[in-house]
Amino acid sequence: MPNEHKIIGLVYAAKNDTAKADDLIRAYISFIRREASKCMKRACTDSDDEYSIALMAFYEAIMGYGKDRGAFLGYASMLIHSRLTDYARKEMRHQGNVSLYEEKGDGDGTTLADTLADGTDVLEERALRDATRQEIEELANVMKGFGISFSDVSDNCPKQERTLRTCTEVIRYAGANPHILDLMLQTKKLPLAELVKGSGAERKTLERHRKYLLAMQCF
Amino acid sequence: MKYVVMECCVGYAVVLDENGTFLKVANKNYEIGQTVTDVVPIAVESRKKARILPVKWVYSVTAAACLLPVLIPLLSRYNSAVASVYLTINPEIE
Repeated sequence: MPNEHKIIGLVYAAKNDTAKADDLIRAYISFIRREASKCMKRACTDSDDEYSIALMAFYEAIMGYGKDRGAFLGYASMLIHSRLTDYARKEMRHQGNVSLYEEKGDGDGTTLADTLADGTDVLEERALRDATRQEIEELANVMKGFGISFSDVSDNCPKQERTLRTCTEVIRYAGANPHILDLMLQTKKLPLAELVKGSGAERKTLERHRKYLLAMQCF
Repeated sequence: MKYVVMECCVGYAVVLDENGTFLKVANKNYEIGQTVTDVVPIAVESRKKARILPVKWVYSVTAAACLLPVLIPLLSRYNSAVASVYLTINPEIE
């Protein structure tokens, strides 16, 4: 029982802290892999998609757990099984299709994909990805100055189409008025009054999606 | 739909889609800056907080509840009978 209290304490700490959530997931990697293997009825490796789904399900269990749900590991196990079952059902639709990465069977290890003409330049693609990664890392640093991360932004992102459109209008208005960005960089806060006055959006909407708007301004 | 991977954590990755929406998805060994097409979005149940009555209403409701046992007998006095009329109709034929 003391062990259960300890786990619950760690779970509640991880709900609001991404680093603690990552630590908790790493601490229970072997449990997660074991549960995934039970569901898959074979050994689960790091390269399996099911392993990623199981990790995600454990994270979902951390965020969705409450003491009324019983023991945390039991709840996490149920969620892992549920997500993997859903994933397997979705993948059943692709059964019967041949994978491009399946070996041709002529003994030299070549796959079907190797026989297809590839119009993309691998080096150029790699260079583009590296440039994109660099820009994203710079953006993450700027956002850190405002005390937000991409995880915060995804939690704060508008889900409804109408709200997304309103936020897009606000971002467009801010883009057309550079002094708003200057004000934001100076004060490290979103100038809500100015944005409400200029875009006509409701203050409540802007307050609810403040982190999302800040991130999009930083773009 | 194409997605750009923005952040990678142990349990999930954050991607940005073409509509400007950020999503948490399963991290299938993604790298930051990678463009992906087939994602598995996370489904976190939002545990809604139980609605707690605002404090000002608690005082009003408590006061009303305390007054009721006093008010009911007082009001019922006005409804109590002060007199009664007894009427019988009993015709006889002899």
